[in-house]
Amino acid sequence: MIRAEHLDIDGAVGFAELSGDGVPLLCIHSAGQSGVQWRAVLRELPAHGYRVIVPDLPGHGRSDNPCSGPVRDLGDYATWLGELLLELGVERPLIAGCSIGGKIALELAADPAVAPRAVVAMAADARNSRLSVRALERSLEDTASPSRADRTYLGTLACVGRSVPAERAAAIAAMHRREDPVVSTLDLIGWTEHDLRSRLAAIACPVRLVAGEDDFWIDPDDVAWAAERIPDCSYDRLPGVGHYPMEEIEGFPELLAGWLRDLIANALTPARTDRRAGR
Amino acid sequence: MNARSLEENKLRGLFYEDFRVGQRFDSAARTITAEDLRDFTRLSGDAAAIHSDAAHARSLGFEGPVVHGPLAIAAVFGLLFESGLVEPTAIGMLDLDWRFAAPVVAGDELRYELTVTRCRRSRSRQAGVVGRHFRVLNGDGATVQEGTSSLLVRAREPAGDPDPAIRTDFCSPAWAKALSAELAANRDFADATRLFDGSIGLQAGAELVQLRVYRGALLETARSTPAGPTFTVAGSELAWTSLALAERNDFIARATLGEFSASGSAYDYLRLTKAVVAIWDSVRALAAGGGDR
Repeated sequence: MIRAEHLDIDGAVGFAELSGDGVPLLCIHSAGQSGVQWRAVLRELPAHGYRVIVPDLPGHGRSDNPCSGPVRDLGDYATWLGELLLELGVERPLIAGCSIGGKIALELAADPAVAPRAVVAMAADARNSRLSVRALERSLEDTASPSRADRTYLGTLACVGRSVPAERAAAIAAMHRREDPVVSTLDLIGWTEHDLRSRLAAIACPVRLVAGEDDFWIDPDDVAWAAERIPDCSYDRLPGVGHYPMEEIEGFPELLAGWLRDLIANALTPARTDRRAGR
Repeated sequence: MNARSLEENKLRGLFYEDFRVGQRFDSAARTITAEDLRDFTRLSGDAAAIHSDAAHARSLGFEGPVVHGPLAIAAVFGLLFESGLVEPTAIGMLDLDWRFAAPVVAGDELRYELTVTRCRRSRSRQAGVVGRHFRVLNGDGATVQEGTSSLLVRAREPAGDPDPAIRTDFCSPAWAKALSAELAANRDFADATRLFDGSIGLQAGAELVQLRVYRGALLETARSTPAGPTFTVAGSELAWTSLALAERNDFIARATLGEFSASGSAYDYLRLTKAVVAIWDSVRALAAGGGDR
């Protein structure tokens, strides 16, 4: 059964869906989107022994904006998620995230107060160089950002992988068109400005970085760079997949369950722990 | 590559009709030796220290004496001759536009990847012009030089009318005319330009054409319009060739990565994103019909 929670976080409503019992798994959505991206995981991962927690970040989906207004710092989202976990009484969760959600997952992984068991970060790098903050700031002004809906729709189609059937790609793009342009744009500014490079070495849990080969928002070399600097990290490139693996891949929940199984097994292997301690 | 396999790989000179936009020809590799560098220095008279003095070249941060840029160009056209692609059908090289991306030093191995980016019949003789893009790579696979050059090449047959190659003669007047027939049936283009009164410039390399649009209808295609283009979408001939023949229309990804750029009214360009993507659908449909010549 899927349950909804309306949590009070800093005086504003934070919305999250929960399903299952077992090892907690926090799933973080991408810029401008909502927990709906994790719908299949929410439905199917409980059968693998997980308690799935899918929040809408502040200003997204059914969560209020913070009292201070929309967020432009990914660190604020990480803090908010820390409070959400506290409210829910969740300790040491597994975390999966995509795009800004992947970067926030890495941010949480570097935070000893959260200390996740393991992280799957998709379409995430330590620092992104493909967007211009100046251009994004200009497009915060509605008069300077015409045909926003078309551009979101067509832009999403272009970054969905070539293996995705046209009908599914169109459904993903139509869902993404529901965004609030201000919130989305601020998310992208946050993504571009957030620099995790100096903190990668502080990540103490096993990490799996995942990038789609058709994802033009991500430079594969940047992800490889991050993978080399995270102490316990593997890196997968997915052929035919773009920026949103959890929406694009038929059977993604099974794939994620396999990744999590491997990460947990690694986290529990004494040899691996010793090796990490020796670094 | 030994002499025998080189012989086997030799093509007989291609005629104009044998070329297609999007064709790729990759060369064998050749090492530029210290002796080559000395010979070229003597032949050209360019004995600048960077080419002849190892200590000086190293003081500038290079691994050794830097090969003259034009020596690498000469080697490219030597490899092209070796390939058998141009002999005996080539009449003459018409132009050269070249960029030096990274230094080549003696001992480097060079090869090229050639992509055909334009085919156009000559009006005055039994021949045609073939536009070629060269990417020159070193032994590590890094691009060291890049450029374009067109070749006048003999045709087997006198010009037929119309030449099917106009379907990929991007941004030429004949191509624009063929494109307008595709666009007339493109509903997305009509819908997206319903509130537009202006001209959309399309530029492939140096070739520029405008689509004069009023309320969803394409009024005219022309090299110039009285008020000029509202905005222009430009890319190299290689960029046009790649997207026109790609597996899918990912114009937005390519524009984001800088393969295409826009000038003129940025606002109208953004406003007409859907129309521009629709134009590319028609460009691709036209190009896809071009393989049956």
